Amino acid sequence: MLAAAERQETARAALLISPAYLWLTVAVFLPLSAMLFFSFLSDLPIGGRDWETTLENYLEFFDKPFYADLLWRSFQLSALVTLLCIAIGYPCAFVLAKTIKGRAREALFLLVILPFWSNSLVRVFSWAIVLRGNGVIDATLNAILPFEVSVNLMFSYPAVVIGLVHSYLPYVILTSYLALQAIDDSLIEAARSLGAPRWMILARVVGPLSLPGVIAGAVLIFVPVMGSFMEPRILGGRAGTFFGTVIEDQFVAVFNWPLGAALSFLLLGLVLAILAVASPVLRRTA
Amino acid sequence: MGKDKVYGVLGRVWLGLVLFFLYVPVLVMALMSFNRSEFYQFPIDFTGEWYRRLAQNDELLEAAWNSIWIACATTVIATLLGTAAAIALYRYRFPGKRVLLVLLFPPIAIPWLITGTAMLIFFFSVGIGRGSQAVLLGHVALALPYVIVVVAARLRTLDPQLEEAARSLGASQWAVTRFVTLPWIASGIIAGALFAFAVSFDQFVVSYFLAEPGDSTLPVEIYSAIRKGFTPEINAISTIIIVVSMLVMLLAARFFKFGGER
Amino acid sequence: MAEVKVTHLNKRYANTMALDDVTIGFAEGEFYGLLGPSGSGKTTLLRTIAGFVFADSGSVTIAGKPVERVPVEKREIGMVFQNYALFPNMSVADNIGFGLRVRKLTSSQIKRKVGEVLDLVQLGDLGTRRPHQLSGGQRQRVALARAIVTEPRVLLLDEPLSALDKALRMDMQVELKRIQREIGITTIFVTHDQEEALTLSDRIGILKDGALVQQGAPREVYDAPVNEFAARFLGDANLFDGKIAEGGIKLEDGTVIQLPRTGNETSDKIRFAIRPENLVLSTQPRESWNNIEVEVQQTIFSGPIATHLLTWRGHRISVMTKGGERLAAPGQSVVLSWRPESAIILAPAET
Repeated sequence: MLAAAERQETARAALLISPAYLWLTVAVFLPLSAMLFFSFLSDLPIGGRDWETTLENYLEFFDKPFYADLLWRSFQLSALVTLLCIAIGYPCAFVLAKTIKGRAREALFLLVILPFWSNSLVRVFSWAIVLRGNGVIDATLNAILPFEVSVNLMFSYPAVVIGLVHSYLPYVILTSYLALQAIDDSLIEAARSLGAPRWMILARVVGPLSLPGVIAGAVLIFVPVMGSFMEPRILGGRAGTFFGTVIEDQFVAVFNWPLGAALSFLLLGLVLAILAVASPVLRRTA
Repeated sequence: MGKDKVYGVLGRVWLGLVLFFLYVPVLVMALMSFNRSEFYQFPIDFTGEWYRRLAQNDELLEAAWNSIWIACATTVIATLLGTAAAIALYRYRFPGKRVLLVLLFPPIAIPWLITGTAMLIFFFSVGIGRGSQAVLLGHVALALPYVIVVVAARLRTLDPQLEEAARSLGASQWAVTRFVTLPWIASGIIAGALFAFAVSFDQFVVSYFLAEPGDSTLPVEIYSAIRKGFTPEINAISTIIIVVSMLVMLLAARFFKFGGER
Repeated sequence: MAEVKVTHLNKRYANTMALDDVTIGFAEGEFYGLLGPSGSGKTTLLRTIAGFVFADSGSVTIAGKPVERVPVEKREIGMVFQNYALFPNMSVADNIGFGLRVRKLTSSQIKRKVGEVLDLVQLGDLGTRRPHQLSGGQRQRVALARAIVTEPRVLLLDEPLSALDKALRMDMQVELKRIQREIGITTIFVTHDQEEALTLSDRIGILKDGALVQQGAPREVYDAPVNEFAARFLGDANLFDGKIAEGGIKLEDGTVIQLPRTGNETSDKIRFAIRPENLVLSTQPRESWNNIEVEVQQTIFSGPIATHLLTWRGHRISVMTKGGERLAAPGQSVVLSWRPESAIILAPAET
C-alpha cells in the first residue's frame, strides 16, 4: 500500500536515468561484451567466412614471448612516466596548495590545468616539432654553448617519455593539489608548534594525508599510458613499439580483430586488477 | 623564517620551470606556424602563408567542420542526458544507486584504446559500422560521465529542503525542476556542457577507430597527415585548435571552480 | 482547515523504531506541539503527515480522507522548514507567490494575496528583497507567509523558531500565536524546546523513542506527568522514593511525609516528583507541610530567578526561587519544605 508511492519514485528516477545509461550500455558495455566474445573467435564473422570459438588468440599471447615482453615494456613505460609525473608534479601541487595564496593561486592553477584540456594529439605533435634535429633545441643550445651541437631526440624512447609526461603531468598535479588543499593548515601549524622539522612534517603529516590524491593521480596516469599508441607512434618511430601499438595494428593494419580483441582484454584485465587494488584509496578521494 | 623564504623561492622556481615545460612546445609550435621555413629553422621569417594555405586545404577544413558539428551534437545530447541522470541520482532513493555510480567509471578509467576498439567491433557487428554516427555514439558515451559528475557536484550544494518546500507548496516534479533545481545548477550544466564539448572536440583515439577514412574528425586527419609527413599547415591548424580548446576551458573554469574554491 | 488523524503509525529505520504505534488526533484549528528529544520521532511524524516519509503501516487522514497514496504536492499542506528553505533566486514576493503560481492563479490575484499576507506577517514593503538580504526573523516570516498564502488545510512547522536568538524567539512566539488565531488553521509544530511547546500549544504531545508518552493541554501535562520521562522533559523534577508505612510515606531516612493518595497503589513502593518552584527553603519546618533537612551546595543566580542546588542523602535537589531572595550560604543546613499536594506521583519504575 505505502510501497506504491515508493515504487512511483523509482519509476520517475528510472525515466530520468535510463536514457543516459542506455546510451552507455549501447556504446560502452555492450561493445566490451562484444569484444570479449570476439576474442574467442578464430576469424571475423563476416562475408561467409568460417569461424569458430577458440582459445587460440589468448594462447597466442602465452605462446609467443613477444607479446608478454611488449606488455612488460608497456608496464615499465607506464611506471616510469608515472613516477616522473609524481616527482615533478607533487612539488608543484605542494607549492600551489601551500605556498601561494589568493588570486595568484587560482590563476596559476588554471594555467597548469589548461594544457591538460587541450588536444593531446596536438600537444604531442608540438613536441615532435621541438625535439627534431636542426630545430629549436639545436638553435637554442648553439646560441648558448660555445661549440656545435646537434641534438635529435626524435624517434627515441626518451622522446616518448617526454611526450607522455607532458600529456599526463597535469593529472597528478590536479589530484595532489585537491588532496593537499584539503589539509587544514592548522595541522601543519600544530606540528610546527610541537617542534617538528620540515622533513618530518612532510613525511608524517602532509605526505600521508595527501597520499590518496597522489595515488589517484598515479592511477589516472598509469592506466592510459598502458594503452597508449599515439605518442609512441609519433614520437617513437621504431623505438615506439608497445602493447598499445600492437593492438592498434591488429585493427588498422593486420585486421586480425579477434587477436586484437584478446590482447585488449588481457590489457583490460591488467588495468582492472590495478584499479581494484587502488580502489579503496580512490573511493576516499572521490 | 629564513629557511621558509628559501623553500618558498625554490618552490616558485620549480613551478615556473614546470609551467615552462608545459607551455614551451605549444608556444614554439605557434611561433613556427608563422615561420616561412618549412623545416622549423631559425631565424623566424614571419608569414601568414600557412594559414592561407590552410584556408584552401579542403580535407582539413572538412574534418574541422566534422569535428565542430559532432562536438556540438555531443554537447547537446550529453548535457541533456547527463543532467537528467544527475538529477535523478540526487533526488530519488532507489536500489542499485551505488552500482550506477560505479558504472560511470569505465568510460573514463578504461584506456580509450580498449573502449575504441570495442566500439568498433560492436558497431561493426550490429550494422552501425563506421562513420559520423558511430563517432557521435562514441563521443556522447565518453562525455556523459563528465557531465554527470560535474552536474552532480553542483547538485550536492543544493539544499534538499528547497525541493521539499516547493513540493509542499504544490509543485509537481517538473515544476520543482524548472523553478528550483535548474536555476541553481545552471552554472554546473554550463560547465558540464563545456567539458562535453572539449571531450568531443579533442577526442582522438575513439574517433580514430570509428571514423571513415576521408570523412573523419580533425584530430584523426591531423594524425594521418603527420604520419605521412609534416606540412606546416598542420602547424597552423594545430595552433588554432589549441587556442580554441584553451578558450573553451577558460570559459568552463569560470562556471565550475576546480578544487572547490567558491 | 481540517482535522488530521494519524492512526497506529509505525516506521522502522534499520534497528530503530522511528515511529512506534503512534495514534494522535489533531483537532481542527488546534495548535499542537510535538515535543521530544532528538531521535524521538517527532520530525519523522511531521514529515509523514507532510508526505515526505512513508510509514510502514498505519494511516494518515486529512479532513477524514486517507492520504497515504497522495503525493506531497497534492496534500494541500503548508510547511515551514527549520532553515526556512526560501528560494534564493526569487524575491520575497515571488517566494510567497510560488504556491499560487503553481495553482495557476492570475498575476493580479497573486499580487493581491501576496500583499495581504505580507501585511498579516507585518513585512509590508519587503516584497522586492531577496532572501539573503533579510534578517533571520524576517526570513522566518516570509517562510510562514509562503506556507499560509495558499490557504492549506494544515500548517506544519519544523522547529520554526530554533534558528532565532532568544529575544527574537519570544517575539515570534507571540506573533505566531496571533497569526494562527487569526486564520484559524490546524497547526502542528515540532520542537525540542519545552518552553516553546508550553507557550504556543493548545495541546502538547510528548514523544520518546518513536512512541507517544503523553498528550494534553500544557497545564495538564505539566502538573500531572504520567511518568519520570515526562516529568523530567517538561520542566524539571526532583525525584524521591518512598515506602507506604504507618501514618504516611516513609522516605529513605525514615522521615514520614504525607502525600495525596490515589488508592491505586499496586505495590508499597512509591516514586514521586516535586517541581523546583514548589519547594521552599527556610530555617524552620513548616506546619502541615512536608519537611526534610538538606545541605546547600551552590546557588546559581540567573537574574529573575535563582536556582539552589542542595544535597540530601547523596541526592541532588534543585529549588527555584525569586532571584532577589537571600538564602543560606554553601555548606549550610536548611529545611526544605513542600505542600503535600504539590507532589506528583509517578507511574512505577520506568527507566
